[in-house]
Amino acid sequence: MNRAFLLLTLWTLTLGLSGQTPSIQKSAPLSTGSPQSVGLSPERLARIDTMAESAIADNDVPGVVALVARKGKIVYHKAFGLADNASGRKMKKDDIFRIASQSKAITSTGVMMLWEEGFFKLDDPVSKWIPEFKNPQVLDSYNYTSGTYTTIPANREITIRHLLTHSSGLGYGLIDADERMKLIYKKAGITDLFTTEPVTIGDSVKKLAKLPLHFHPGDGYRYSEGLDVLGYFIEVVSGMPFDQFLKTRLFDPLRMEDTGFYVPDNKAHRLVTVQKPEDGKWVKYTGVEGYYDADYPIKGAKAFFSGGAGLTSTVQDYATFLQMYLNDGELNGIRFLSRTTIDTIMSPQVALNRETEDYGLVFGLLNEKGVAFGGPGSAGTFRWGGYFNSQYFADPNEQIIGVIMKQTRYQTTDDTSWQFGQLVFQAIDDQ
Amino acid sequence: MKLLLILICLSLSVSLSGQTPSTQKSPPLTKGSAKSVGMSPERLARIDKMAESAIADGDVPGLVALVARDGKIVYHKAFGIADAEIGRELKKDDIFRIFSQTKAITATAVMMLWEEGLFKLDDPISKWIPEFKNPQVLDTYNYTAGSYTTIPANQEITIRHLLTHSSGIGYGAIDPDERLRLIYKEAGIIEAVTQKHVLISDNIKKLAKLPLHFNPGEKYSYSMGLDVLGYFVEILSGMPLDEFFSSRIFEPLGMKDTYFYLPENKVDRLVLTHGPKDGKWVSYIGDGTIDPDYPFKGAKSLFSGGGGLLSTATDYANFLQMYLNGGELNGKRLLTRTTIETMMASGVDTSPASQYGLAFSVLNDKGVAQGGLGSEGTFSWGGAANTQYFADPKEQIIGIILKQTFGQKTDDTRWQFRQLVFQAIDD
Repeated sequence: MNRAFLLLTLWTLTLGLSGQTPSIQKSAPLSTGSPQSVGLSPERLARIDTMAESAIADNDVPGVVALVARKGKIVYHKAFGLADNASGRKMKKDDIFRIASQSKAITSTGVMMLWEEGFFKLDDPVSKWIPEFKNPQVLDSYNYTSGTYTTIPANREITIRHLLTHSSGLGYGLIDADERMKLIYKKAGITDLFTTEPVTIGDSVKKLAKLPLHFHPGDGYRYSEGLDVLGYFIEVVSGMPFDQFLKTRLFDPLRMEDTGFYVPDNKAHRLVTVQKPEDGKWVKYTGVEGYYDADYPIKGAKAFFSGGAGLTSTVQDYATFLQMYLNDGELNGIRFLSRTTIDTIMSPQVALNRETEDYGLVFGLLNEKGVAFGGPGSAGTFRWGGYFNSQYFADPNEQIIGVIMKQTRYQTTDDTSWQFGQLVFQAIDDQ
Repeated sequence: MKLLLILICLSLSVSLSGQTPSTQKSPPLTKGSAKSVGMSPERLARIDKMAESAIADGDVPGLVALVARDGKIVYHKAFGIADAEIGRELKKDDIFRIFSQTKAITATAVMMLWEEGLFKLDDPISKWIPEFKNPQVLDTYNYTAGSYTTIPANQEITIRHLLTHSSGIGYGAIDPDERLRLIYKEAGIIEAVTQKHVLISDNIKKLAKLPLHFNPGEKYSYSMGLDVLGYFVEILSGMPLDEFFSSRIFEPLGMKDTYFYLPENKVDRLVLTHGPKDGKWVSYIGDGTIDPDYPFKGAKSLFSGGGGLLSTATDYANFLQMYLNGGELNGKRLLTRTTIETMMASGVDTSPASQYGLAFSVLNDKGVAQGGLGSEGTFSWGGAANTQYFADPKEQIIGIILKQTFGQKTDDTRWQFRQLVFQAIDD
């Protein structure tokens, strides 16, 4: 059997079944290149080494993996420190991290791929697909003694756009700043982030749909479980389990081989331990009692596909995902999104509670004011991060990607979160 | 004497010219491959799926869809049936009642005459149709007697008001205000089409005497303004509107299947207006007032500039291509680029993401964030029998989807088509 033919057949099959389409363009996957060839200074990039080494020496973080790419070339990709201090395992460049909220952009991308197929309008009510969201209610009063509450009817329904942009009024349970919401979510048994229990996304979202909102849908920005709802929405619209949808429609065609909800056994040794500082040392962080076990990627039921926080990945896989965006929706000759859809995704949709950044349909977006404040990056740079201390950004104007991953909780001082962005852009050395 | 001479010369030049030759020479729309103009054939094929499932779901009996980019038709297909009564299959070149898609053509005619210096946009219409002098705004209405009181309007209706639906004129049977509906009916106004022998001049002169929704210029309200302007074109040009359209617009643009009334030999290409009944598609006659036969039966005398035309996807695409070319097609200049800039720039707000310009609804800078509507500057409209079109000057893309239905509850193709066209861009 001719291997090329087999590949071709598989290829066509995939296309027939799926949403990504071949493209007239054919951008290569990310590959290694020299900094000078893409207008970056190796001497200035070396400042990232210094940053990482001193952060580890200062006990700010136990270990770091950092990647910088420009114009499709990886010009910096290094690991520093330890992946697990108890065993003394060294961090490696291809180690696997819990990327938590970096999952959101991937889920949103899945939503926009289905949108491109004409399945729905952004302003459609989500109740059309998940009827439990009919007749939304806004929290009015809460009784701390009895744990009961009163609501008033919301003045509009929650739309897909609201869910993408954290303007639905939905809360975030465990990490919600409003204690009342935290208690209401807990009592209702919502799975907020991760779990080792045999819970499905459908179970949790249908319960969530019945809970009161912070505010009337569309009335503000509040970080939320909206992307968890959309993960389930993708299951309903596509008829596929969410993990299968992401695998066949994004991870396989993008060749993000190390990205998924749960880490297979043969890769478990590459998972970085979550650590926290204790008496000047790094110790294993086990999770939050009554909420989650931090070993969730390799332990338990592995049934919950959280579109808001559930994925694990590597810096290179995530950089590949971002490169697809910098290529206006195409990579490896496959079109995932059209340029015009990306224009919409990158248009400010809601104001964040910081004036340097807006939120589009998928990412936070640096605005003109953000450039004046020192970036990182040009106006239009899109970025976000994750709960276990990981950060990324991509600048369409400079064609630069930066991804930095750590795996910690309760670190009190970690300057690398902002230093990395600053050091990447100062390394630009072209006209 | 000198003025008279100028006037004579002016009318001479008007009758002889109108469209002028151009140094540009853009070809009419021709077929091309999707890839050659930066579009993905696989993604365009999503339109097939949309059409097939809309027909299977009973949303529409049939549709013709056309997509063009950079002057090349990259998608042009017919799906389903043209006539449920006889089971005739829909064809790509079938003829549809385009109703309000007529408005952009009438507005184009008005602007062609404006380019000849015959009037200013802010001139009062009463200068040419004196019946519009002393406009009145509706004050109170007595439902029992069918009588009403008015107050004098604070300004006259201008050509610009009529182009942008801000004159305060109503829309008869489709007016949102029941009082205006009753007043128009009582006065015997024809909204768009009829088999009766009615002339545009009769209809408009009656209309001119009716009360307005609001003072001219106050806001946007969809209206018979373009019907008034159809008559205005007749007065300025000295030609019946059908003749003006055919000699000055359709013939130079090669729109060979666009008419107010069909010639005998094309009647078999007319698509039936359908409505749903007991899960089936039947000929739609509404409450008995909708006449499906006017395009080929009866007096054929009323030329409604707001809703009277019949056309095909290809013809209408050529009309839009003239706009994307900056006013020229086939080496004929109908409008100059600067006039088109004016038409797209000024207008009245109709939604947060769009405004109504002098001929079309135009997407503003908030439109891109909405998603699936095109770039800023994309212009669009549609017709009452469920037809839609849009054109994006930045992407040089045209989309037209023609159906022929009334009273269908769900028809997602109305928004899906536009979303699917823009996601097919692959450059």
